[in-house]
Amino acid sequence: MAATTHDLALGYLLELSADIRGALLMDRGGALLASAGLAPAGALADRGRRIVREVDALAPGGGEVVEVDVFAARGALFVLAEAAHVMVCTTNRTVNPGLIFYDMHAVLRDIDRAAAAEERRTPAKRRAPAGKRREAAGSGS
Amino acid sequence: MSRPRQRRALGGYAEEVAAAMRRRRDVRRPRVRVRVDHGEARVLEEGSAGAERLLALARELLDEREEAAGG
Repeated sequence: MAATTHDLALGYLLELSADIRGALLMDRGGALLASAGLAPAGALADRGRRIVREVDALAPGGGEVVEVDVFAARGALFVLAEAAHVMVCTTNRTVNPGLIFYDMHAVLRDIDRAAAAEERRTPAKRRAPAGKRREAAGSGS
Repeated sequence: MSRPRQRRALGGYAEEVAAAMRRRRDVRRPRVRVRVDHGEARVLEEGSAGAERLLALARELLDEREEAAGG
């Protein structure tokens, strides 16, 4: 199966930061878009939905940038909700949260920029090809 | 007259050790920190429902990660 843009972005994030061990990407509705470094189990989708629900509870307005860092005994979890996506990363405990969020912001912005560019391209594809448009214009005159 | 000074010095040392241990314990304590819309970060109250749910999710994903790594 071909890797999607989202899979590639998460792969890049794991390459960008050696501290990030696993990552998840969801849309704001909670649907799992991609995962990297974590077991490809169905339970991930459920966890992704639960994380998005928690983020929504922290910022009920929606659409705001939300950063959450959770330090547990065995490691840390970072959640970043920005624009249309929610990204989750797992790391060990000895990380600088500012640096992790910096990398997450960079990759998430690239994903949103790519999605916006794709949206701009899609209506252009739907338009009639240039040759046919010229023919239509010629027959009309 | 050097005794009180010595006691004070020992007391200061003990306080420093205690403070270092407190800091170390605090650093290792599980915590959940939230920042909304680039505002000031706030730490969720320990034991609050939201903090507990997020900690549980973090533990599940960290375990998942260890399983994926074969550890």
